[in-house]
Amino acid sequence: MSPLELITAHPWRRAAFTTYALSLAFFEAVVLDALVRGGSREALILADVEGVRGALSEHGARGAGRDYEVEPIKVERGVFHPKVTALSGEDQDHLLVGSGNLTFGGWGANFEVVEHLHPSFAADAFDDAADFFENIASSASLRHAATDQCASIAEGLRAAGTRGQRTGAIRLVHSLDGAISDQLIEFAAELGGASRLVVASPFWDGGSALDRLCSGLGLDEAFVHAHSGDAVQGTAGSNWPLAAKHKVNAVCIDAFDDDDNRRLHAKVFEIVCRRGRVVMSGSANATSAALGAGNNVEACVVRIQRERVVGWTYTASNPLAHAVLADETAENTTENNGILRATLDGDCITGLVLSPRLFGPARAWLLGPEGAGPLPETAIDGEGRFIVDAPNLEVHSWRSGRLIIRVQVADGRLAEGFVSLAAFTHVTRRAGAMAPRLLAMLAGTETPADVAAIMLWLQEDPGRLSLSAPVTSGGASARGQGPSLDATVALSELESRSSPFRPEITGDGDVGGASWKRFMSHILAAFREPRGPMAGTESRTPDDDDDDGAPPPDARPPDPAIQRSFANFEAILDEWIAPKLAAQLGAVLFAMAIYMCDRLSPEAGQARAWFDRLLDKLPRTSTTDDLRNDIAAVALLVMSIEGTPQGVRQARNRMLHFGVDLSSDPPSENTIPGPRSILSPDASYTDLWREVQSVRTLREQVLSYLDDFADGLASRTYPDIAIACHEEWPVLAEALMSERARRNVLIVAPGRESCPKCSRALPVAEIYKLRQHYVATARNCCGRVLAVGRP
Amino acid sequence: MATPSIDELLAAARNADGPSFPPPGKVKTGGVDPLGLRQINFDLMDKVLPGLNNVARHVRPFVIVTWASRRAIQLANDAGLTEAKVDELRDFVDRIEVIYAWSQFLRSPDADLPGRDVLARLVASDSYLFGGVEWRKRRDAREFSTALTAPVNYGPALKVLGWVEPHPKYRKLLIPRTEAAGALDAFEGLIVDRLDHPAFSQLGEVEVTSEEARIWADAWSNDTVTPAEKRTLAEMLFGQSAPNDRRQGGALMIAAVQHGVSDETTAVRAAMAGRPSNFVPANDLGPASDAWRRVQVRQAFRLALESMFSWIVGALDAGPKSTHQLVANFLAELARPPTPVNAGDWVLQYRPERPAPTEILDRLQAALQDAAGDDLASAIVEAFAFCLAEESAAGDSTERADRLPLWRARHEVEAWSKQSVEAFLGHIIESWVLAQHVYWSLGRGLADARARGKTILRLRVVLDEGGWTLAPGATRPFPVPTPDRLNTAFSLARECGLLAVASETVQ
Repeated sequence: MSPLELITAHPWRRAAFTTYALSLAFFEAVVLDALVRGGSREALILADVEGVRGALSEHGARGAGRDYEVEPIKVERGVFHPKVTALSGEDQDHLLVGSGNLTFGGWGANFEVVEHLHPSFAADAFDDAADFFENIASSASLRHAATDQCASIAEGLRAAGTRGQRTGAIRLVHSLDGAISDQLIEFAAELGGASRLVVASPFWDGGSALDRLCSGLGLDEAFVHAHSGDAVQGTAGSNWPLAAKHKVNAVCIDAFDDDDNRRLHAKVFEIVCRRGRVVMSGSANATSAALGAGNNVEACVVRIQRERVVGWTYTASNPLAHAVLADETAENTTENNGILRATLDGDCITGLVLSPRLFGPARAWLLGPEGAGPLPETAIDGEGRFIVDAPNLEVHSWRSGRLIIRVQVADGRLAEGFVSLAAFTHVTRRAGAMAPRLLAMLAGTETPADVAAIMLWLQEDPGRLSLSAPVTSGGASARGQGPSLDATVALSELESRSSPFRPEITGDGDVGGASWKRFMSHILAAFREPRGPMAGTESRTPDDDDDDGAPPPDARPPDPAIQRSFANFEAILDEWIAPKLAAQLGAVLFAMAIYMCDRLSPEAGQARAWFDRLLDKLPRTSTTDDLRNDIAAVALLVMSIEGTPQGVRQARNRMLHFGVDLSSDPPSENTIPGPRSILSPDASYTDLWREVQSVRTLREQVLSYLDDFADGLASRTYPDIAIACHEEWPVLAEALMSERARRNVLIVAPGRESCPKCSRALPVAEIYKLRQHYVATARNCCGRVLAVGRP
Repeated sequence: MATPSIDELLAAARNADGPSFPPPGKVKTGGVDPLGLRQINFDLMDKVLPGLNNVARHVRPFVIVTWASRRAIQLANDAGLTEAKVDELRDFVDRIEVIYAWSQFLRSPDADLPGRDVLARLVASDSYLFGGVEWRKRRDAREFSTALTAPVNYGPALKVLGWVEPHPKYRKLLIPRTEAAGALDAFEGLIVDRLDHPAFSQLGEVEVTSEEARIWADAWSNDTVTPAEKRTLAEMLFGQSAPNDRRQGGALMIAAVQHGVSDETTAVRAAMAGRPSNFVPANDLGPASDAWRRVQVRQAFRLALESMFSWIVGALDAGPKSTHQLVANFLAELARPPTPVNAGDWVLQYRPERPAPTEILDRLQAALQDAAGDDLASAIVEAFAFCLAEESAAGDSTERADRLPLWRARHEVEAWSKQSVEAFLGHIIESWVLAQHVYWSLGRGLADARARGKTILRLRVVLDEGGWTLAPGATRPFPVPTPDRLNTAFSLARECGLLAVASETVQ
């Protein structure tokens, strides 16, 4: 079986991995990829400090602490060496116990071994695994900060075990409650004692561990697998039990024949007994550090086959050529940086130095590609704990991914480690399968498919935005779908052109949780941040590759998800622009429209249609100071492509509606570059602004007229009233000249729909005129001209 | 093979009587932009030749699509309809496109049009029915691939240049713009001989013979572009209605040709980029020349980094290596071993005497093509030195840092200038090349995973036990510069007579 197949096969709620060596590039490229494809949520890696030290050098892998958590574990006298994967879902719990580290080598490139267990046939092993994680949580010989996570994993495993069948045939053994070799000897004794021992292991301690095992089993000799592809190599240790006192017979186990000639990294022990057979596989090499007590942390699966006495078949072989090999279980004696782990909660980093033991005042830095950025000084207490103030770091982490902190005490010793986000667990649980997409958006690496999904997700429940006031939604609108083959179009629309509620929200609309609020505020900020078109839009080529290679790289089809994104955004627009929602969501809608232009490059007509709706429908109350500048810029761009005097007055009208101060400076030329590049790339805000300043809207002219009317003199001109209200204009003009004619003009309050003198409702056409042109005639009563005054 | 379900995996586990040995992972490898640098190159091209791609390089296809769109609407109107089926209108446009391509491939198998392979069977047949299941399948298949209107071909430029605009609701329906009317009328004058044929005069199913397509071929080939079509495209391409950047970019290109540089794009590309060329553009073209030089400098920087990546992958073929070992190997391959003690002086030492970005590109390409690879390390360092010297202190900080813009590179060089050459080279290898590679490989892979898209292992180099090592299936890439659209601009300008005028001026 392939572990990757299992990971992809189910949407795991939690995936926990233990490992010695760790390649985060491998984890993100292969395992996290599979978890994301499967729809999984949380991932946790428990790794030896050595593994974490290596991972800290992988500058390109940025997800640690944000997309998944890494918890280093320091073992007092040995290393943290188990390779256990615990997968739990709503109705599924599985264990993988094997020999492979979380590296390319451990997941396919080396010859490894793995056991796939499920409570339905291995409930005992789930109990044992629960004990194992409880031991990790509580062992005094381990230093880490994953106590709660380990306890939670143990709880899940124990619960899973209760649902299964116990036969005692499959057990998980580990080194935290005694020597593994002793447990093996006990199992053999229960089966009447050993008659043969066969071992496959890439690493040996010369032979002392083998001697102890043979002695315990009462055997004079052992059979050792000499792998045809050799064993995994390194820099120290031994690849063969050269110094064993017991007789060592080199064999080649038939079952280990590997067509791919991969190097051996599997660790397997077979003991054929008088009344059965014991097979142990997992992380433990044939070394004293692995099989003895109080050294490494190891985990293996033991199969106890009670009646079977036929063991592996093999052929005689030659011992492996002696090589200086990696003893990955040996303590590294070179001077390495120490390892710490830290959590960022709000504006504060709390950390724990795991190795070496540091104490006293310490300097701190945040490590990045440009070097080390200083943080405030701190002090490390006797337990290795420290606290550092780190304002504004959370948003940096959500966006950029991994943070690495370094602390250094006065004697020069230092420790480094990943900083995980305290909000991570809450956010990923809350966002569920949407979390990776939201995180991509924060990082600026989102794809059109992400945008489409996020739009749909927000439309489902605007409460997810976690705005200050609860948000309720109207009826669902039709999703944007392409026209069917039978769609028809009016031919009049095809003439050549020249220039131009759903029920109230409940569920996870609950906005509890400061971390969620902060997270969503970062998402909203991302909508407002100019980032330029994402790859795959018509103005951009696809970001990466077409591995079929045919089309030239500058000309590939735009991602179909772009149109889905537009459709989903338009569905949101349809719903949220309703008066009930627009007051709360107007600013978000406007930011989204700018974002869509900036990132997905819609065609100008489509973008203009969005902005026309927003500028005409959004209430002034939805406007913030920050937004007014963008609104002014958009109004100017629409005016620019309209290119008519009416367009200028419309722009002015729109800006006045939103309270834009037209006596101030125009928007800066780099405002909203995305919409600008689509709507009117060569437009100058300064020139357009001047045009807007030079005109007056019909409303402004009517109010000016009424000022003059009150003063009884015509001090200004009202050119548009004469055009738009040509029927009423003679009466209005005369009223400025003659006292008698003034009686033919009545001033009405905004919104009035009846004659103030006769109190009769106005005809519909006149009400319309009053709304559109602010002037109308009381045609069905006194015949006077009505003009809308100030509120 | 289908991915097994959780139940199938569970059944296998239940039936196992011992541990299993996982098979080697089967990975599909890929990735053509291994360091994630390409987007900045495109962004810079957008500042000189926006709206063009490297495919839409002839006038006539623009006219064909626009005319077909107008004709479809006319036919519906002539039929007295007030409404027309969207798909019928599209069907007509698709049909005209295919007949056009069919006829051109009959005229010359080397016709520079998309779809040669997929039309091969049709080209060989005696007749074709534009209707029924097969036609529908063909239409669907070509929509995003070989259709002239496809986004990979003339689709974007049809709209950006202003030939058509999409219907606001039915976006696949293209509405000709009035600016194209003169060109369409002139073109229609060329094809009056066939306008009464059902293929050109009615919506719905029609049949066309190969002989008819052959007869029609000459009249609407690229050789018959009318003055009106040329004028229309010239105006759209570089005229007053074009965006200022493209206008200036086009003017710069034409000025370079008028200067007598050459009528070959290679020489024009170099001249447009400024020194050491003796072509000095007019003052008003200075910004365009600067922008073009930035394109070429970025092209050189990207090619240098990708060449470095190629060198690293080649070096790891023999086994894992630490950064320290890679640095030592690289320095050993330099023609001039570093004499300065610090990185800042070392960069200065390699600054070329003739600061021509196109020559830097040429040298890198030559070094990559040389099987012995003797000059590659030196060419890479010289390219770095040149590009870093070109970047102004201010730079364009709007370019994303994770695309490794030159402003970031220069900033980091300044920060590392007092460090040793070895340390700085280690930084280049770890940060500029390998971290970029890992970051973008992972980011793109996870983007595919979120979209449940293709599964490709883009990683070619990883840090594993033993140092930097090749990922499974990794092969050495041999990078080439991304086409910079100049060939397209050149071709279009030549076809609409802008370069002919220039050449005459030169003579």
